[in-house]
Amino acid sequence: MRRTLAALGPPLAVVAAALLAWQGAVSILRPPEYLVPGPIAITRAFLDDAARLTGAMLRTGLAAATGFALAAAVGVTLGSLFAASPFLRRGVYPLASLLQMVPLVALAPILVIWFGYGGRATVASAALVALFPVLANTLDGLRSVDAGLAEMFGLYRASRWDRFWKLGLPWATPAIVTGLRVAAGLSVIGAVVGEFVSGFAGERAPLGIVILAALREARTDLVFAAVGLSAAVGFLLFGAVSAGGWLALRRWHPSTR
Amino acid sequence: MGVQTADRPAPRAAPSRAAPPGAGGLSLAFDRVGKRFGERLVLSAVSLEVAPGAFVAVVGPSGCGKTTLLRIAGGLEAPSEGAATVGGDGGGVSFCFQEARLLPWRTAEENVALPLELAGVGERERRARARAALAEVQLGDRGDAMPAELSGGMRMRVALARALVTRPRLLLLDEPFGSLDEVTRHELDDALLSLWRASGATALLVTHSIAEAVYLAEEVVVLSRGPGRVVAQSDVDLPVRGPEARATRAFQDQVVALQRALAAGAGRGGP
Repeated sequence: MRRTLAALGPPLAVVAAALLAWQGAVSILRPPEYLVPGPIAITRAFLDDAARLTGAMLRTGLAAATGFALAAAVGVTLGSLFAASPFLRRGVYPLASLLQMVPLVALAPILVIWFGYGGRATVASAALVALFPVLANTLDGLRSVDAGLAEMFGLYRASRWDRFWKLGLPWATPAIVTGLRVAAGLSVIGAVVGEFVSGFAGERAPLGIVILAALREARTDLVFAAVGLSAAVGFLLFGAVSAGGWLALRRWHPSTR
Repeated sequence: MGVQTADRPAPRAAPSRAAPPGAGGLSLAFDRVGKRFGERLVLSAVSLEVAPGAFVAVVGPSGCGKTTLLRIAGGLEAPSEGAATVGGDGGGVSFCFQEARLLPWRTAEENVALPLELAGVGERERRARARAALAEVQLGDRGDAMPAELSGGMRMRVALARALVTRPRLLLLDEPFGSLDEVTRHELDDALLSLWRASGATALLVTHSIAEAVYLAEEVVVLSRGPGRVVAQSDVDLPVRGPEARATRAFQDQVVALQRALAAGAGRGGP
């Protein structure tokens, strides 16, 4: 706990100094507020609209978390299947990596066509960007199982199932955790992009729509507040995944020491 | 890994007593075994018989194929020529590798229990047997430790316990203590010796240390530089066994005699 606090100290000090410098520069130079609002103006914009913004953050966070969970489940499953089947690995995996090259922003309208406007397209968009790192890391982790341990399981005449559950999956867990951490950040990007294209305006608007609406009204302070909140969503998701990974690995993996 | 229980005597009571008759040991025979990897011949017409319950050591220079010979005995490699035959029904063989090969995410006890778990032994029984096996290698109090928390010697003890927990009838040992310091190595040699005596299993040990071979085995086989073939075979005859043996004249004489045979086999003079 003390070590955690000590680790948090320096970055918090840097953030505080940056905010102070920012506010100082805005107070002295007085740029037009629609161009660069200061931290105080942004905070005021948030407080004036706190209920709506918090609701938007929750909706975006829920969509990102759902997309992330889908990506995690599908990614680990597909990665395991690809590791087990040379045919799938050679036949499907290269295509899956190619799919990764398609820009999400270009793909998002298609998701709207398939899933309609609203939350489902957002979740699909979040899941789609988060999927690949999980899949690739699961596959790499399973493929890098120590040859000596694999040979030993062969000597014990372990079943395929036992080899997977008792050797492959634990061995791949550090790599999977790395993939999940990358996916956590990506899922928030995917959710906001999905909302840009598919979200509804109004009382129940998600962060992506709040950003677009504020932009149209030249409410730059509100844009900054919403962007800050979407970053907070990413932070929370990333933190939760990191904490989960730490719990899973703390007893044995050097990365947790 | 088969678990032989029906034809075994009740759990060992006094591990340091004289060996029980080798009723549990499997026989092992190599009949003109040759092995090539691509163009390279690593073993050439090796014939060797290991009687049930015997302890035989194979020594030879690096690259003489002694590890390959062991892997053929364990079914990890197929011979290119000849045949290796293990008595019994194919079960009851245990391997102890140069490295401990422990699963880093399991405790020492869970590692020892692994072969039982994979063989479908129930949780209660395998825990009890894993604990007993750990106690036999003097690690009874470290069952909850993770491998990363153990020293190299302790990890090898865990590996030895894991090899013995299935109550094997043939123990194949591939230089298991080769990477350890000498004091630890001597300790583990003694642990291995008493465990082997108590188990009644047949043991085939591969090592580059002639002193270790003479200390542990009843018979030492010398392989030549690659391609390995048998250049000498000698029964070990020591008036005393145990830690004092190393200081005796007989021990030194046999080590020297085997060193000569090894040098001759390596193509450096000799008769």
